[in-house]
Amino acid sequence: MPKYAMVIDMTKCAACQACTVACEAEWGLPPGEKFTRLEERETGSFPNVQREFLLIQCQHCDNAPCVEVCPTGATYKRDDGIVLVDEKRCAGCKYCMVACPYQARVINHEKGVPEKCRFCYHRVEQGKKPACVSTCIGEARYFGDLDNPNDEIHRIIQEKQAKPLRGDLGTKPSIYYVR
Amino acid sequence: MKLTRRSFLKASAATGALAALSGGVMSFERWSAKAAESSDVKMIPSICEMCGTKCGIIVKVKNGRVVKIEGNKDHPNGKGKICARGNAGMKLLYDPDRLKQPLKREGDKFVPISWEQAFREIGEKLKEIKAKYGPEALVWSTHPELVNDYEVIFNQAFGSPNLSPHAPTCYSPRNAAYKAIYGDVPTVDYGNVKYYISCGRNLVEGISVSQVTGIMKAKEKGAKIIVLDPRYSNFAALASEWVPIRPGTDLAFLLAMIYLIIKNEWYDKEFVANYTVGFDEVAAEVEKYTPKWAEEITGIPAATIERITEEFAKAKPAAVIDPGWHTSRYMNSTEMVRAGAVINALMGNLGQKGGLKFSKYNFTKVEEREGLWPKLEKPKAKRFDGAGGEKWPLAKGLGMIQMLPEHILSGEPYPIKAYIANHHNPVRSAGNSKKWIEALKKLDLVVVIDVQMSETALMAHYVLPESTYLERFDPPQIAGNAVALRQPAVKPLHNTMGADDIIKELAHEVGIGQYFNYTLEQFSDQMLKPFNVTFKQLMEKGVIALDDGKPVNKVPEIKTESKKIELSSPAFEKAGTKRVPTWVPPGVTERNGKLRFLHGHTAVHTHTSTFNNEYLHALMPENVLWINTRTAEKLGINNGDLVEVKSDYGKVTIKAKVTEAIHPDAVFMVHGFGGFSPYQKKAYHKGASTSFIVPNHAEPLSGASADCEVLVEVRKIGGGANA
Repeated sequence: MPKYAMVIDMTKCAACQACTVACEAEWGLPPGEKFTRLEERETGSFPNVQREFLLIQCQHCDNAPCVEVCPTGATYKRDDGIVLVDEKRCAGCKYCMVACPYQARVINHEKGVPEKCRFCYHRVEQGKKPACVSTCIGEARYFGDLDNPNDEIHRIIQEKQAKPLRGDLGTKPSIYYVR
Repeated sequence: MKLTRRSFLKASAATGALAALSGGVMSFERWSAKAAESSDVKMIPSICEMCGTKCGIIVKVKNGRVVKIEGNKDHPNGKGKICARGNAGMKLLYDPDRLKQPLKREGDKFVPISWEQAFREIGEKLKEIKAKYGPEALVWSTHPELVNDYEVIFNQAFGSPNLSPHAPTCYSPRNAAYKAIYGDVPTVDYGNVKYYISCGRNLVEGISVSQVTGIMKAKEKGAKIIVLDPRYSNFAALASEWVPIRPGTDLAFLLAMIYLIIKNEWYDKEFVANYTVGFDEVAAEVEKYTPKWAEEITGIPAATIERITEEFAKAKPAAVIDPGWHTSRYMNSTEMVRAGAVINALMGNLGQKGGLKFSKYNFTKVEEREGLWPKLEKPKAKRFDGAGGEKWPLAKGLGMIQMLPEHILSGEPYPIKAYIANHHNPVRSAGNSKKWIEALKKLDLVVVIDVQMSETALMAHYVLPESTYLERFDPPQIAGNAVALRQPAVKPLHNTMGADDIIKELAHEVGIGQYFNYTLEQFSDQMLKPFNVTFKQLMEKGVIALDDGKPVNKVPEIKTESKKIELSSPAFEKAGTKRVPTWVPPGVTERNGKLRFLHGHTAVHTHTSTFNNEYLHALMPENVLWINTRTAEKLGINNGDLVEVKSDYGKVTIKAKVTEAIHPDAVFMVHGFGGFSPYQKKAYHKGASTSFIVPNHAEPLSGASADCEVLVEVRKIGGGANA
């Protein structure tokens, strides 16, 4: 059984949002419903300024707070690590939105379902990369299988010293960041 | 039934039949029959047109509907990746606000008419104007796309010298300077560069996908990236170092670099001896341009200039000053590009790994192709703007379209009576909207060819709807080491035509039909012949490589008169300046509370063309005014306040973004917002248009619009969300 993981190298991110739109197009999302979010932070004062960007999306946590709090079992984790929402079972209570420390959930206003990144499971099952990885113009995103010792994702995590976001929370995310 | 050209037009109510106008073997029927052989999911290789850089795409069509667009790995532009705009392409195709049929102005309204009526009436009017005022009374402007050769043929056959690209509002300084002293316009081997200096070139907000992929590869390998920009842009954010230079003074920084490189003998002596002329003249001129001198002008410490120059020179030949792209900013921009070009020559980087390179392949110029049309002759009249003439030799082939309103209004050097704009919206992209509107109102005939109702189209007598890039063929493209084809993924959804057919039909109506008696396939095959590739093969594969793509690292042929890089340039002397790079101050100086007005691209929109795209609109619905914290404090402006930005040419209102990330003397906004075409419902009146602030003027060397040479006053007019 594969165990999927992603690396996002923010030092190679152009902040261009190609990933954001590729994801919207892949899933046919309504405009404005985005599974990735580009955050920006400015520090310092002129001329010693820094601007930093951070791409946030569902982290597909091994200890996913959203799975734990979901009262109907609509949010579930597959054996391959992908966290999904079964919209038929969703009661729309939004507990998951509150529980997610990464604020990765977005409401689908038509269905009232808090949605999120699906790691493009349909593409991944066909051996393709997720839409955001495939289109990334800075080649800042990597995707692979942690259960396969030959997958280059191991080397990338190690060489780039990629780390989960807020590892201290104990959520054990499947996305690793280089910053 | 035998279909004639005329009977086709009559049948134009049947939308689908129009695509067959392209004629011959490449008709839509043939294409769709072929496409229908496979399952209901088709993958069509084509070329993107969400901006001008023409990346390769694969269009996924499911049950006759475009559901996804991805990059084409085989295409050198993008190599399988596309940006946010490319990913949103289907939202242009299915935009309900698109132009769907030919329109004619009647009073203040536009009414639908048939193609036949449109062509007939435009043709009659053009013939009348030509008879009365001469063919030069027609000006045709364009954002030159793949169909540009058709525009060249039309204008030359008609007899007008006034075909005008958008160059002066974009790349004129770069092209003018490099053509003059290198003989050609190079690009950078981004993926292998070791030390890269950008003078305002913003690789991640003015995106060409392969360049971004390349510079990120270089960065990963440890390249140093230096960004000179008065604004801490997204590109500065990922660079090694931001140089917060005073606006319009990059030239001084570069002149001091030349001073240091020569004084310390950091240049490539062998390259300079073998491939350049005029070194001694440059050395004599730059003696006065010390780092201390540059510090006064740029606000950048001399020590910083010295450190960067030394590091840069040590990395040669993989050390590059980016030739730039949108360089039409200041009155000294062409001089600035030239100084960078001289530094590149001193580094000996031409043709070297991580240096500058020329494109390997080009189509034969359309004027030099023979067989399909009668021989073309150069129009007798001189250009309306003087480009290429005695005063503006460096503007040859670039033109000064931003000056059109002035020439229409003055009637100098001759009356202009007709204007055709193809894929171009100068009312908002070429400065001073008010003057453009005033001038276009004076014309006897204004025709706009576009996919949506632009602000220029609002001024037209006739609006001719073009099929989008997902619905049409275009003549082929050369990209890197390959040839490629744009081809339809779906039939035209509405009563639209490709620009090739529109131009062809217009030509028949104005009596120059004999220049267009061929199909697009025949036209393309003639272009492709030197490469042993056919249109049919391209339809099949989308992209065909012409060689193994392996880089050849050697100095290419230099196509100047001396066959060397002309560090001392007779062409510049002819244009009225020194033979060698020299200091020229910017056109205006910030003072008395007046601030420099800067503008530029964002990664998620293109010029004025993508603001009604529902994905891109949702991502970035409006622009804001970047203003430095201390400057804002003095003016009593808080973050989110509504402010008025006023120049001598007009004013706009916009929300303020109070930030540390911009020079205190400058303000900045992303251009393209503030649309005022009510037909584009989502984009209408969202954000502010830079076109009301920016004047129409021409930089003295290349004729560029120098569109950051304008001062503004900013004042608070209302509290914002955070106030």
